[in-house]
Formats: sequence, C-alpha cells, structure tokens
Amino acid sequence: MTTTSPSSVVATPAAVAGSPRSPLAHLGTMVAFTLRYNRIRLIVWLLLTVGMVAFIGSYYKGLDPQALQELIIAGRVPSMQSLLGWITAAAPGSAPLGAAVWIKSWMFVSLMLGIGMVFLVTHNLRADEDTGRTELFRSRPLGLHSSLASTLIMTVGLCLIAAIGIGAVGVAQQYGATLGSTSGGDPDPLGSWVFGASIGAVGLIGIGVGVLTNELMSTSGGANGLGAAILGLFYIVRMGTDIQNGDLTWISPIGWAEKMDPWSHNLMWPLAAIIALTAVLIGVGWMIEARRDYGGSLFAARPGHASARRWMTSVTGLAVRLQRTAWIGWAVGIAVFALMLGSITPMMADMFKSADIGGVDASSMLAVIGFLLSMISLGVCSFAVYSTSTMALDDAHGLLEHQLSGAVSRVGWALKRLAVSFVGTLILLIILCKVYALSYGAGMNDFGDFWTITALAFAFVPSMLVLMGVVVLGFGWWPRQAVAIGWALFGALWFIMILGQVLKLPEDVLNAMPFFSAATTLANGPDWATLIVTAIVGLAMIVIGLIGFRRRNVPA
Amino acid sequence: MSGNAIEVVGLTKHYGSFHALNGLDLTVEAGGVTGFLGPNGAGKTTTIRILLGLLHADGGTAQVLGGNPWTDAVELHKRLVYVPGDVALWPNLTGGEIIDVLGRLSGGLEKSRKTAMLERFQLDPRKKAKTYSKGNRQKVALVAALASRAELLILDEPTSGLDPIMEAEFQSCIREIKGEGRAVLLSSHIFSEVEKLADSVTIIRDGRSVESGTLEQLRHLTRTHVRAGFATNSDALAQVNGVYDYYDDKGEVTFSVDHDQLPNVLAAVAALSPTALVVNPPSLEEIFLSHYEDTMSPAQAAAVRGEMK
Repeated sequence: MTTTSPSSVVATPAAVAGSPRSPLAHLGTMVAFTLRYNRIRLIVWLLLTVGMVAFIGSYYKGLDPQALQELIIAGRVPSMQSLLGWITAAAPGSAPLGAAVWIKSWMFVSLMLGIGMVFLVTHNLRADEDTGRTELFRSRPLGLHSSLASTLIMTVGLCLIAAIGIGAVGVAQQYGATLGSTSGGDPDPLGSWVFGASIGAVGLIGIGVGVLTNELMSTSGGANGLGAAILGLFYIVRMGTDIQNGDLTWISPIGWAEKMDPWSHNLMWPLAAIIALTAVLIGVGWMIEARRDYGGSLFAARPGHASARRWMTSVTGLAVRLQRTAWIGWAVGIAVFALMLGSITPMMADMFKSADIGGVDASSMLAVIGFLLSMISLGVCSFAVYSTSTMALDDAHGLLEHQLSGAVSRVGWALKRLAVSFVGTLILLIILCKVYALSYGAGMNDFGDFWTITALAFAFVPSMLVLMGVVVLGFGWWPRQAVAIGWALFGALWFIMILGQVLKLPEDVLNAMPFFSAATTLANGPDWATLIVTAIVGLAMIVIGLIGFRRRNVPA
Repeated sequence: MSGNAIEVVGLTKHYGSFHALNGLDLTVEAGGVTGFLGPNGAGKTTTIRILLGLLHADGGTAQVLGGNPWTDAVELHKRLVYVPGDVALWPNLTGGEIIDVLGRLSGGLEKSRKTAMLERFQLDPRKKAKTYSKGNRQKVALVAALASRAELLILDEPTSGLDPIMEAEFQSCIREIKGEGRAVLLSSHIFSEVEKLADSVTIIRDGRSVESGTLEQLRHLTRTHVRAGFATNSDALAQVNGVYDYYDDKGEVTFSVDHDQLPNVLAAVAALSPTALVVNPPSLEEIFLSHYEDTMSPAQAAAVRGEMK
C-alpha cells in the first residue's frame, strides 16, 4: 500500500550519472583542514629533508679538502654506488663538497621523501575512507574531488618547499665550490638548485604512486604496501647499472632524478619527465575517483573463509595469520634485493680500490659485505619493530582487552606474540644472508664463504632484541607512546648508520651500537663481548617491559 | 516547499551478482517524519548512501529536494544534514572542532544553537575524539546535525549507543523539527522510537519496499491483541469468527482478533464475564515481524510471539 503519486517535477533517472557539479566545492575549507590536520607531519618532513642535508653539509664543510676527497673516494666504491647512486660531480676537480653531500644524503633523503609521500597521501585519503570519516565530510556540500585536490596541494607544496629549502642550503653552504677555493665562492649555484629539485622530484613520484595505489586498494595498509613496493622496485631496478654509471638507470623514475646530475650536467629536463609521469598517475587516479562508489576501489576486498582453520585459533597462529601478508611482502622484497646485491658484488671485486671504512682494512671483500649486510639488516629489522608494535596497536584499538578476556595469561600472550616477531624477523635475516651468499657465490664461482655469510644472520639477533626491547618497554610502561618510541629508536639508528662519522661519535661508541657491532664480524670474527652485552640489554628491556605490562591497566 | 523531500521509485543497485536494491520505493514528505525499517542487510544504508550521492544507482529514479542526488550533491547537501549509523571521527581533533568543521562546510552553524545542543545532549566539546565512548561519538554527529537548520535530516540509527535520557532528548528535538515544517528520514531498529515519532513508515526487505503507509493504515492490516482472565471455561471463544491463536494458560487467555470482528468478539468476551481484560493495538514490532514470519524458523516465530504476549 504505497502512498503518494510521483510529484509534478519530472523525476531524473538515478542511473544516468552525469558528472557531479562543483567537484571542487569548498576546496579552500578542505585545504585549511588538511594543513591543520597534518601540521606536525609537515614540519617533521621539512626537518628530515632540509634539516638533514644542512646538517651533513655543515659537517663536511668543516673538513679539510683531503679528508673530503677520501670520503668521496669511499663513496664511489661500486658497492656504495649500487646502494647510493652515481654522481658525475664526484669526479676529481668538480664540486667535492656537493658531491660528498650528494653521496651521503641523496638516495636516503629522496627515498625517504618518496615513501613518506605515499604514506602521507594514504593518511589523508584511503585511511579516512576506510574508517568511514570521509562519509561525514561527503554528506556535507563538499566537492567529489576536493579531498584529493587538497591533499595534492599540500604534498606537492611540501615537496616544492623541501626542494627550494635544500637548494637554498646548498647555495648558502656553497656546495658548488671547487677544490681548494672555499673562499672563492660558489661557481655553480645552479647545481644546488638542481640538487634540491632532484630530491623534490622523487617526492613527486611518491605522490603520483600514492594517489594511484589509493584508488586501487581498498585499505590503507594495502595502499601503503603497494606504494612502498613500487618505489622499492624503482630503487632495485637501478641498482645494478649504477655501479658503472650505466644507461639502464634510465629505466627507473628514481634513476631519472638521479641523472639530473647536479654540479656537472645540471639537467632539468628529467624533472619535466617526472612531473609528466606524476601528472599521468594522478590523472588516472582522478578518473577512477570520478567513477567509483564511495568506499570502492579497483581491487575490492574479497570474501574469505567462513570458519578459521585450526592453526589460526591460537595466540601464535592468529598473530601469524594477521602479519602474514606484510611478512610475505617483506620476504619477497628482501630476497629480490639480496639476489641483486649478491650478483653485482663480484663486479665490485674487480673494481675494488682500497679505502678506510669503519676502521677495517677494506681490501677484504668480507669486510665490505659485512658492512653492507649490516646496513641492510637494520632495514630488515624494521619488520621486528612493526611486528612487536602490533601488540601496542591491539591495545589501542581495544583488541587486547578482548583477547585477554579469554583464558590466556598476560605474560603468556605477550611472550607468544614476541616469539612470532622474533622468529619472523630471524627468518627474514636468514633469507637476506642466504640468498645474498648464494647469489654472490654463484657470481664468484666460489661458495667458500657461503656458510660464513649465512651465519652472519645470527650476529644481528642481539641488535634485533634491542629494537624489540624498546617497543616492549614502551608497551609495558608508556603504552600510548610505545609505537612512536620504537620507530624513533629505529630512526635514530638509521640516522647514525647513514651519517656515520658526521655525528662525531667516538669510534668505540659507534662500533658498540647495535648493527655496527655485527659489521666487522665477517672480517674479524664475532665480537662476542659486544654481541652478548647487546643481547643482554635487549632481553633486559623485554623483561622490564613485561613486568610493566603485567601490573598496568588494560587499556592504559 | 512543493513536492516531497525525497522521492524514490524503483531504485536498483547491484554489486556483481548480489542485488542490494531490487526496486525500492520511498517517499518522505516535508513537515513529517518517515520511518525506514528493515532487517540488517535489507538495503537501508545502501539507499541512504545513494540519496547522499555516495553510491551510483543502477536503475530507477531518486530525487532529493527536487534534485539529482549524484550530480547535484554539493548543492543539495547545503540543504540537508546526515547522521551516520557508525560515527568515525578524526582521533586528534576535539568534538567541538569536528562539529565546527562540519558546520563550516554547510555554510556555518549558529553558535547559540550549537551551544544549546551541546547542553541538551551533555557533550563535552573539549575532549579529543579518540577519548569518546561510542555514545559520545554518536552525539558529536547528532549535535552537528541538530544544530543546523537544514530542510531535510537523514538519520541512520542516530541513537544507537545513547542512554534512555538522551533518547528522550532526541525525540523531543525531532518533534520540534517536525513542528518547524522540516522533513526527517529516520532509519531505526528501535520500534518505540519510530512509533512515537513517525508519521509514515516504509518497511524494506531484500532490497524492495514491502509495506508503506501511515501507522494507522498499517495497523489495520494486523490484528488486535487481547489478554483476558476468566473464572469459567472460555474455550467457546476459540470458535468465534475472527479469533486466532487462542491460547489458554491456566485461566489467562490470549488471542488476536481481526479488526472488523472486534465488536462480536468483545461481545462474546463480555458474555463470559471476564475478571481481567487488556486490549493492545498491534505494535510496530508485530507489523514488522509479520512480514518476516515465513523466513523465520518455527522456533524463532514461537519465541518472538512469546515475547510479545
């Protein structure tokens, strides 16, 4: 028994969808909101990019020319070039300060900015849609594309400001100065602007990739993971060719930014290519957004199983099931990376020049390999930080109280979760070392070092325990800050690793830090004292953290 | 305003092979509250999202405040306001900030009205959203909506998580809104709320409307419930024309009666000298559930009937 008849106005068919009018309505309000919502992140990003370059530059400026040259030579070693990229200005007679700063910071800062932009885009787009916040906004007079547009304005603006900031720092610190003429001024200020632009360009790539993955994936985890994987692929692709300044570097968009070659060729047209690529990626994302339903994506979530399989229903099994996808992504990425790195190491052996790295006589290949793998193992152990922090995240999302209401003791639960993190990361480390050793041995036709290199994985265990320990410590005593504390320590170790002597830490302290202590293991044998002490520190933090967890409120 | 606030005819929407909406009709008149009822998964939220221009419909027509909900979304949203069923907020903003941001997008909120609503619903606007309980999150969305002067309110389970006092506050707000001549679409599982507020009701099942009309009209479709106590044997009542589901529980007798047979049946009851008598009009719950009896198992149906005695 329906009521009234249709009104006198001709009813417009719902299915005939024209484009929505005013797709950018209230863009101004959204931009203001987005900027305010992200204000701390924006400041941090500017500090991490411009600040880091300025810091490195000011240190190098204080070195005498000879020391600077040695640093550059150390950086032009093929192993370093594959990881950090290749720059023409490092050739003698060009711009030693600029070259040194580039070698030290370019790959790291630009990759960080690129991946960071993927995460920032997801934080503002898919994350809000995934949780339902966007629904509230879209029920108001907000244009269909206003959210995307305001996110773009913010991120592109950030990359632009970072690029200009870095360029300005370069001009101020005279990166273009030629050898021995630090008082003679900077003959190539353009080089600094190109330097800044090349870093900003990688940020733009990250924005484009991020917008696309946000439209492809239905969850923020999916968007972040796919975006990081794509950028990782771009990085790995140019690894092999960079040893010899190969032309294949041009295959990767990161390679385009690299080839802008500040202080020598000073090419700006790769920037135009990157802008075009970013515009295309954003355009595709824009078109998908115009057509899709709210909450939809190109790859939709598929239904799963009706009942849990037996192995999933224990604490350990559940943790494995939940972290499985991330772990597999990590494992595949690490395996590919190790394969690549191992296969180009023999090429390095041919081109090897003696230099001082970390206090060890670097004519030994093992020392180089040990150093390389130590650096990478820190990256691998980010999985340990992520996995351990899921405990704190469960707490924050109310999942912990649910689990603890079951027949499981607090410490028992925590230990099982830690076991999953520990074993998971250990397997990743073994994959790293084993695959590398296989690839290296195959390239050298000599598997003599295979077991030594594989065993190196265990030398990283104490350092892994320290990383996990910090998160557990936070989880027990400052649960709301636990995740931040863990990543802060990780970031600090990463900075120390990258900046190395720039921080002027005493040699002994540096070698005692986690991951550094393992660096010399291959060449000199394990430094048992440091490894054991590091392990004890890590375990102690875990124990203290668990004590805190046992006595505190849940949720905190 | 001429015409209806919402006019939906034959709306369809499918996801692959699954038909979320299968020919839905819905009308919301200005100055009235229309209840929108249906079991979980019937298509209520899908319908509302189409009306908000968030989803594409695949067929049929939908008109909101005289305009097309998809293409005219921005214009129409200036005149309507929405409360979602499950409110998600930005964790580090305070409730007050979120209300202001939402209000600003709609052209601004009157400060006095906002303060009054915060007062009525006892919401502290200075607390960060991540510290709010479920009910308080709901209140943030409610205050943002009720403090506005929008012509049309679209409410999807707006009081889920609210305590009875807040529920009463909400109902009095809606009555005021009705008095101002504004329109409300209220989707709810709380029958008492819909019974008290709604002028008309549409029941949706499996993506199509199965019943629609005023409560009075709907009541005439079902039977009146009678509970009586007798000193003597009253089995004769079971044979009277128009009496159904006669059940004698040690002297307390229950049965339902067709509307048009009510006079004869009451006469028969009076003839037997009842010691107690309670007559209930059919509740919205009964009307609602009568549409689902054939999909419920016999055990479910019995349990439900037992609860409604």
